[in-house]
Amino acid sequence: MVRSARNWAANDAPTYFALLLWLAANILVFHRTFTEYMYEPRYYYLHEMLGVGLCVSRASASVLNLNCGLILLPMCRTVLAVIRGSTQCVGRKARRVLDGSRKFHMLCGAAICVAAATHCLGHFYNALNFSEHYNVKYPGVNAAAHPKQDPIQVLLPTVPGLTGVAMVLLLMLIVSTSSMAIRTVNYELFWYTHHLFLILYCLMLLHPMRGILKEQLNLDEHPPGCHMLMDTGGSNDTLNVTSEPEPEPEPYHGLMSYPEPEAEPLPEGSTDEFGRIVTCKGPPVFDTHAVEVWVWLVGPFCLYCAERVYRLVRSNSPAAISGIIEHPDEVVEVQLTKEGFVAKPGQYVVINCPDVSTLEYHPFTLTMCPSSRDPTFSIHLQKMGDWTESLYERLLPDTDGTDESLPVMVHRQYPILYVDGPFGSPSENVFHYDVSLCIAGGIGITPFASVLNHLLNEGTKSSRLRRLYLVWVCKNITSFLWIAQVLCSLQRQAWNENRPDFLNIHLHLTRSRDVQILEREYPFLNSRVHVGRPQWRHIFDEVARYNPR
Amino acid sequence: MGQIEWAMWANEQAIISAWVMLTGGIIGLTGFNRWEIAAYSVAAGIFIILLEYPRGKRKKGHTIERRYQQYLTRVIHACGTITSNYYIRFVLHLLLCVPAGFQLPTILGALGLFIASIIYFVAAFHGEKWQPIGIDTKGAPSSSNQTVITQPPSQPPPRAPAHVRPKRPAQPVEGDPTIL
Repeated sequence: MVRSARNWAANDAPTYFALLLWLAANILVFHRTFTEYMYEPRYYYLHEMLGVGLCVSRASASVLNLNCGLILLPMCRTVLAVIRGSTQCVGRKARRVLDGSRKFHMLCGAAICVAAATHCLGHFYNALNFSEHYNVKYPGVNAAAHPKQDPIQVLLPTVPGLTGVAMVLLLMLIVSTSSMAIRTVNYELFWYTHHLFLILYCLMLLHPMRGILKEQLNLDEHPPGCHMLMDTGGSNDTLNVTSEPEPEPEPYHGLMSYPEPEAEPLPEGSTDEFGRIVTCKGPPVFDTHAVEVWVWLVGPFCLYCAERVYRLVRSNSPAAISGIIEHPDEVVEVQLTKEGFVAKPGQYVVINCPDVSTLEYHPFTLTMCPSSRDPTFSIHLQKMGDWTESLYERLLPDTDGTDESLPVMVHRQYPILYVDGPFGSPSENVFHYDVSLCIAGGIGITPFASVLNHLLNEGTKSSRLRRLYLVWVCKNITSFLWIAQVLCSLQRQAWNENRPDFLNIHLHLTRSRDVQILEREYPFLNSRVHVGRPQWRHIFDEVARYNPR
Repeated sequence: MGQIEWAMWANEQAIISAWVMLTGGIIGLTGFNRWEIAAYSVAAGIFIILLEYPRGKRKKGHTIERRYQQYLTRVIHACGTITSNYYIRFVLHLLLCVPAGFQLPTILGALGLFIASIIYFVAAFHGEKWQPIGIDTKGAPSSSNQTVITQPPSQPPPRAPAHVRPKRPAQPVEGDPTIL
């Protein structure tokens, strides 16, 4: 019990704490705005007309602003990579929180959807109240042109109405392509529609312009509520909700405050119903209230844009292909060099090949990082979808047929590759623990391949790590040949450095055919191949038993 | 942009729009004028959700099903061409969205549905059509993600490990229990 609590505190508590902070920020922002619109004298007349719908719509708007700002932060990948890389100021626990950055992005997205729905709901009722509770006394506060105006006409022909509808539609498009089912099979669609957010943000900045909600400007001249005194007999039951038909008021002229012909300045020293002295010098003046959308958005948006520009500049020069190695199971290893490219094991890059697609960037984990001795870095690429298939065929053109009969040196024309990155990933953390357990399936071995390559280059004593477990599950036995050489070399090196139990390998084969392949060349690996899926309980028990606290 | 399956997106967009329309309809029933439109939106929203709930089968690869969709799949499959042709869905959604555009709370759903109908048109234009998941078009029921073992094991257990076993002339069928 105590142990599991301690484990929870070490593993999950920081994440939940971050989540709690986010939730608290949302509640705080909501509450602050809600009470502001509920009790501020500036919004007295507006609140009188719209009721709680005003508070709900404004409070959800500020939650929306907060989350629209926050949602961009996890997408600043270079910044995250820098934060993650600076081990001095970011501890192990904080880095684990960073691992959940994509989930945080999704959480903010969900919050935006909920807040947008609430905001729309609030404004539907606001439009209804604008038309139902038309303020005949002070037409300046109204958004409707006349009492009982159709709510659709109150809201839609305005800038906030139009931009609002457009934003909801954009949000619906983004959400509809973000579902798991679409994201996994139609990734391009997801990627392109997600970039509609740029239009969404522009509309968001436009949204509050020429707003329909008005605040009172001259609070000192006209204390809210003193219109009661102007009514005959001081009765306060005939405020502004009129049941009898009113004459058609003059057309409303936008932001201009409305001249009030009937409200004469009260004589000095009138008293309200509580006997307080009220000095009302004139009718209330209304103007569009200042909305600070940009305050929330400008910081994260600039950071994000700056990062995108920086990435664009950085990936501007193509990387040179220095070697191509064909591996079994339709995997090709591409060795690249690029000036000034620095990366750490576990990081990934995104690759763009203009010959295949101008706009598509695909992420690949580095399987070998550039070092001081060798500037080459490599990626392993498996033929999976149409993009990788197309690139694969460009990298390894078919050489059978006529080429085979003509042994002429043909200059190979490699496609141009642009490399953007590196970006951080959780696999960077392998070196920061005494014992690390790496679990990979199929081509998912790539982040650990770079870890193994790093250990091979720098020696097993270069980091804190003293034992590395590797569980690798593959369908075909030939897949193990991808990095078989590295695994064997590392084991030999660990043996030479007097650390024979440094590397613990469990290879699992789920579709057994031709098991003999490894037997001949890699007997070290052959003795570590298990047929069938891993028994996790056994593996975890083994790790726990041999590595007591 | 290789093989985008437009129908899948259209389906997702239509179902989201239908939820928005249904919610808008419920709001529209609480005090807004022209309550008939709101009532219509509620009915249309529910109808579209039921129609769009079962996902169609992808051309290749595995399709992620919605929870409990198999019951509705049978109903939709029973309707034949009316539900499987995407041109019909395009026209249907286009017509269904028009009345909902005349009331404030339902207008968002109506516009969303309009976009969905356009995407359905693109899907139909690319020759896509709705295929049931889990129902064989010939009528034989089979689950989509399960391979059917057609041959019985040729050798009774105990069996020798695969690499020791003499090679048989016929290539073993995938999922054959004699392999492991």
